[in-house]
Amino acid sequence: MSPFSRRAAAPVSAVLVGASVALTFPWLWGQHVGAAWFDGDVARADALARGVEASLENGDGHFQTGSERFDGEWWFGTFQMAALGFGHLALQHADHRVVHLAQMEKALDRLRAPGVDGFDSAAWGESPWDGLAGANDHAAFYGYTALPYALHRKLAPGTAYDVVEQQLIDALTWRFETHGVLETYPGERYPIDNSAGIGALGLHDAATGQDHAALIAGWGHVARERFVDPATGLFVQSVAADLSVVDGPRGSGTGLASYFLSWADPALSRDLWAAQRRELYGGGLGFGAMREYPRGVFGLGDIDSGPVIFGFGVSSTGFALSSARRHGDRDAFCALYATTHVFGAPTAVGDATRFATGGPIGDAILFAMLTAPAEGR
Amino acid sequence: MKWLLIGAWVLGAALLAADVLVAPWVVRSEVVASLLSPGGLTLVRAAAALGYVALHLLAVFLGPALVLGAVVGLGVDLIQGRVGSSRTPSASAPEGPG
Repeated sequence: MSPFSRRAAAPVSAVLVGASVALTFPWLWGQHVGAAWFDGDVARADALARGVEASLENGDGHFQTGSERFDGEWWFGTFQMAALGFGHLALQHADHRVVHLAQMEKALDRLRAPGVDGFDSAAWGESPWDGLAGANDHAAFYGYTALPYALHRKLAPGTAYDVVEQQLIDALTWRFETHGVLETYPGERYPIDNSAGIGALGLHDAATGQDHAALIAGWGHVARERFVDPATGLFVQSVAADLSVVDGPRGSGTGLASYFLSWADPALSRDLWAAQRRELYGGGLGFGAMREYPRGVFGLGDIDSGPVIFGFGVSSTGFALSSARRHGDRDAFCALYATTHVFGAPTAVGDATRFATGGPIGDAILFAMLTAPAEGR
Repeated sequence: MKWLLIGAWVLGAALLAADVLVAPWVVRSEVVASLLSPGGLTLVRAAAALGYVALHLLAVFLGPALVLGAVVGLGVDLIQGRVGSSRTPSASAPEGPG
């Protein structure tokens, strides 16, 4: 070996090993942890559950987005996603069911706490709880609230929570039968918010044996005709009164709708997941992410999408985790989780886990999405 | 070269340690999450949030690379040193009788 080669051997090998590690270790580790989540790692799920529970008990969740409506939606969404996550764990881990049901009930109680419905009350001029028998749709509030309540009824029937659940299901049933596609706010119709109500009806039927199959099938037919973008197979984000498209296909709406519908219309949910995988999924070097807009469509981030970075959306990537797990797509789940792991920065705080970059709503959403059970559970 | 590799190892370890030590404060202060909830965002909090994101990404991508790269480099340097030191006496050793 020449003297030069001998002098260069140490730095060259250091650079080669360093570059190899930089290019492989982050995604390999992220995918390794992702595989544990996909396989239902109880310890990881329990630690995140404790983190979410702590943030609920600390009263976290007051946001300052600059819009009172969005602040309220995020506060409400934090409790809703937390309740779903605890419910998922209760559904999958029978030996921890009592603990997770108690955590779930705390989150359900917070959903009904005074002021949490403020964003919806302000838009409709009435509290959704006072308007259950009225004519106003309150699609998002009823749908998003009914879903975890219905999951609770499936897990623990015969409790006082069933009374509220039945009121919400009755309110949704009457509105879907009468209005077809429901308004979230006056004059605003979002397929994703309707999907939450349809998902709640599916879960309710599974819990009680009641039959909303015809209503669910009818809504599903309308959804395939009017909400599924024919070019991409993705859900459009919003529609007008005549169901013409107001805001086109988006990853965030499709991702969460796919999860909601998996409880009621698994075939439509699977089709939406297949469309996301085909039209939105991308990445490289072992990382996966979902675009917010279809390829070739430019769009900025908004309150639904979160930040959009090089076309990839934070919300669309996070929401997609649930459908990947629901529909058994291990490769996509692990790659999506690797990205979530690197950018979310899961952090141990005592015996709990929190995502350093997520805040209370980020923790709650990821908790629900990471623990979504496999289809058929 | 040896000191450069040791410096790289120290830098990598410092990045990893700083990321681990700062993260719990970031969780409690919700400083990064406040970027998405900008009503209460101040210049100091924005700077802290972006600083943490930069630190975290550097720690994730460069921390293990610097630590392991430096360890391998130092290992190669050590082996070469031993080989060199074991050859040097034999190369200059006086010839034995006969």
